[in-house]
Amino acid sequence: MHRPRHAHLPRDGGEPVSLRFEDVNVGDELPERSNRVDRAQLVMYAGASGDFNPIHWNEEFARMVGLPGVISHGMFTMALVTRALTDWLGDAEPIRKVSVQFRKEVRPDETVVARGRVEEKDPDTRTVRVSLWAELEREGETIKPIKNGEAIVELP
Amino acid sequence: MPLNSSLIGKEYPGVTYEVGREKIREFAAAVGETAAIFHDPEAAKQAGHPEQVAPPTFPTVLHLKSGPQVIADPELGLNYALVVHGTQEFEYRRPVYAGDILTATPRIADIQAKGPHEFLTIETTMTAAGGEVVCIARATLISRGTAASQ
Repeated sequence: MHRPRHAHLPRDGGEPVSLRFEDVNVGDELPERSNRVDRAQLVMYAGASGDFNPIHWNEEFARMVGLPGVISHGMFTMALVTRALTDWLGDAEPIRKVSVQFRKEVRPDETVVARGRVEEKDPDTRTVRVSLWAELEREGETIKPIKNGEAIVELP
Repeated sequence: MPLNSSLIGKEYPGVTYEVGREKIREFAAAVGETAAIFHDPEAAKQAGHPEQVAPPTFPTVLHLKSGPQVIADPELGLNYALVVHGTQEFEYRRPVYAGDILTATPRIADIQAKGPHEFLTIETTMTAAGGEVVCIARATLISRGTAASQ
């Protein structure tokens, strides 16, 4: 199987970076990634993913089915979480597995902060287990639209 | 009405999808994945990939095409108005690349009652030409309040 093991290219076109197994320590936090969700993003995501459920773009329909208004696609919030992972890794290739639990809806104009932490390292397989979650502030409380997320990554 | 748990293990016809460069760019832009490997085939090749790379949750595009036949299966008895997406998992053997022609084959992996709700797990296996497994997606849908009363 093809498994690139070379340096990865950073987004700014600077020197290639590659996260190595030895560079990672249990307890390391992933750089957090914030995204203020706006309606245009939900429409873009609907088109890009093919999920045209009207609860994500039609205010009237969303209220009719008992929601507070339109809500984000859960998979869009998941994509924000995996973006924190790809930003940290500099690539998508090392990811062997990623899973999340959807716990709360995300509403337009809320700011989702995607976070993660290194929980475990296995030197035999050069794999790292990372916990993942998403947070936002609503009415003075921190809530987690995504909880108990986890990724297994295999590093060079 | 509870779901028809005799359908555990039922496999549905595969849906074939050709992964295009522009579709990957569109998806990457929608989710804010700005790294060059998701946009530029040459940058991806310089980073050691055979082609432009799809972001990790891109396979959702495929299971949104293969999943409706499961959800709408009259034998299953799922009322989609009662459904919320509970969990999502992707297991990767390799990244999805531009130019991949993938077949997404869904299967009912599990149906379980927990309290008043039922948890339906749909496992979708995505294979490339020659049967190479690229990604396995597992989605758990919560069917609210449909479990048989105790």
